[in-house]
Amino acid sequence: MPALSMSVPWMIVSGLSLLCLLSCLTVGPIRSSDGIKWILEKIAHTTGWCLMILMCVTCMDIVFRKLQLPIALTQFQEAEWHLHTIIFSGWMGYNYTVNAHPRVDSYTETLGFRAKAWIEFLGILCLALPFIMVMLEHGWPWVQQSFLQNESSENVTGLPYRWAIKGAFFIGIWLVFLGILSVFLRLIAFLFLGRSAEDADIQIGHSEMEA
Amino acid sequence: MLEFIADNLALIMFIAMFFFIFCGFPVAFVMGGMGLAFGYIGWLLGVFPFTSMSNVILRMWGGVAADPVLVSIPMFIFMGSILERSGSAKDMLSATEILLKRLPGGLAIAVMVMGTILAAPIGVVGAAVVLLSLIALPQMLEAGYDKQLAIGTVASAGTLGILIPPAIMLVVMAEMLNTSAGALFAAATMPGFLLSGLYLLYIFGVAIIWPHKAPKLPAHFGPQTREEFWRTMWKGLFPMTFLMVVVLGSIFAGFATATESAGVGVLGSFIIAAINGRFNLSMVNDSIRSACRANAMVFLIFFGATCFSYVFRTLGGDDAMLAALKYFGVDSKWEVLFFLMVLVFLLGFPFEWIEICLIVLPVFAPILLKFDFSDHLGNAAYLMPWFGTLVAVNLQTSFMTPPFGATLFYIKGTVPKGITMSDVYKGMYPFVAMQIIGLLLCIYFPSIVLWLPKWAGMLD
Repeated sequence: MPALSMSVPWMIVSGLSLLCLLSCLTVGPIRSSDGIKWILEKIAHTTGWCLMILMCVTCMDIVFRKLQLPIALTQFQEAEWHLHTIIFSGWMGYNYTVNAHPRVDSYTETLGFRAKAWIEFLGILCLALPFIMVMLEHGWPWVQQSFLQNESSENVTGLPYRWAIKGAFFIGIWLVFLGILSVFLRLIAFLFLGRSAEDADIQIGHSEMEA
Repeated sequence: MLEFIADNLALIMFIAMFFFIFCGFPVAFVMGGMGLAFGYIGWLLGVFPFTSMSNVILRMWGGVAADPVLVSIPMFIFMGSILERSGSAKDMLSATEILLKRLPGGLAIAVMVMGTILAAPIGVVGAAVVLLSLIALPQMLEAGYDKQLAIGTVASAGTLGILIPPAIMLVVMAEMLNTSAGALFAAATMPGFLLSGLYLLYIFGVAIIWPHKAPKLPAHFGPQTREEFWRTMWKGLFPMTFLMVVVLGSIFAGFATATESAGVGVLGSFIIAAINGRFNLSMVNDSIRSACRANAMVFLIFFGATCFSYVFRTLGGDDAMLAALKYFGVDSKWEVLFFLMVLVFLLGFPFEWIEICLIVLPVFAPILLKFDFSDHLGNAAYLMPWFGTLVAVNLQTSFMTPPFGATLFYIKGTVPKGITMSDVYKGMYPFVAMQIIGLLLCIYFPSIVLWLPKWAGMLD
């Protein structure tokens, strides 16, 4: 059995669940879900601008290298994938709340909305949540160790504070957890609390693959 | 019974995953969750150490997040979405039309040329096809084109985008096949041109034999003075062609890595938008959001697939798969290659390329590596670029093959009223036939695939 002692991720998860339960009791599950989605959206839209920084860093990297200026280019090259890590970490969770993760639904497309909601509910409960929980469980000691050693780049001239970017990746997994939670609350409201489909506004079913 | 399950857990896992994927739950979570579930079952049966799940996060970090080559993916998507949203793509189509208006079938050829150059960076099949179909299809129908020819042209030009560099599919594939992204770009270039050449010949032939199917554009179409003509060319065609030459040329010539040339490509597409006066905050914001969304979608699947393939490997999946193939009589190298081609073709119906690259390639590429293709290719090291290109061409074929190819449904969703699904199907047959000819040519004459990377010195 994976140890079920109260490690830090589990403490945070229990804390969050308690918070969720409280907010569901006071403002209702759909409003709580909207709140989570709002936070995720703000984070996503902010981190998105890192793409512009990424472009600038990449172009500077090339220019400096071609001009052979005495600047440590390792830092630029590391900054590139650091920025990229921030970008996808900020967006993975938000993507789920707007149904942008691709599905293979050639066979379930014709099912009714309630059936699709049940599939989503069971899928979250049996596949998505366990996967994310195990990643969180194993991610914590990994980030913690990096922080305690004050890990920096493996290159002598690289960027310091490697733990910070590892932490960003770890937070990205947390954001996926929050995204799942947001969809889950809507599903509960629709399936068990008798809210109408329009009310719950669940983003499932056929996703438009737009780039 | 338990022993049988324990021995064949990897195969059961592979089959079960396909079953669950068809439930319509997001693919990334299905793959991650299945990896976890079968890791747990394996631990109960004593064939999988559950504590090694912590390696998954190390692999997600080391193999995906901290990989400098994969940074080119968001930037190539970003470049495509800037070109699309700033209207540069549309400018280019109209410029090409004007340039080719005297040729028989000029409009169709313009669409094909634009598909070849532009659809490339967009990468995701659906997006490129929808874009082309919204811009070009009404124009072709208005000009009096045969609807089946018009549909075939748009669909095949749109799907070419997954094959012709800098397609992001090739970056992901290179990662999965342990080869360099530049080499795979170079390898896929000639087959891409071969296919678009075949299409062009076909359109040209149709336009000459049945002129009513592909009428010429009227003489009063487009600019009338020479000066105006050159201004359109200067605005629409020249900057885009220049951009593509810079981006691809710098990779092939070895000046820049894929990531660096993607950065330059983004800067270049901003400059083009600025020249045309369409550089503004809302355009940038839209492009950023659509690029980030597509990027996060690719990477969450990457993480799910990492979990899946780690557990699959640890359960001995590679050997189990090889043994299963032997059991069914697939054991010579050509049989294995043929089997893989058919498998990829069939999987292309329900799946997007992301799932196929991340599920099929890591499972089957090691098996193919056990065979020696050096008598056919000249050198065993050429196998992966060649194989990757074959898979890419094959996937493209699959995406446009009736009755299930994904492209057909995207087309059907965007066509004007009065076009039926059977028109779409009939329009595709000649193009699918050309795809298959192209694929067979690439298999029998590997030098089509290999001469450019060899010439650029990327394979040694």
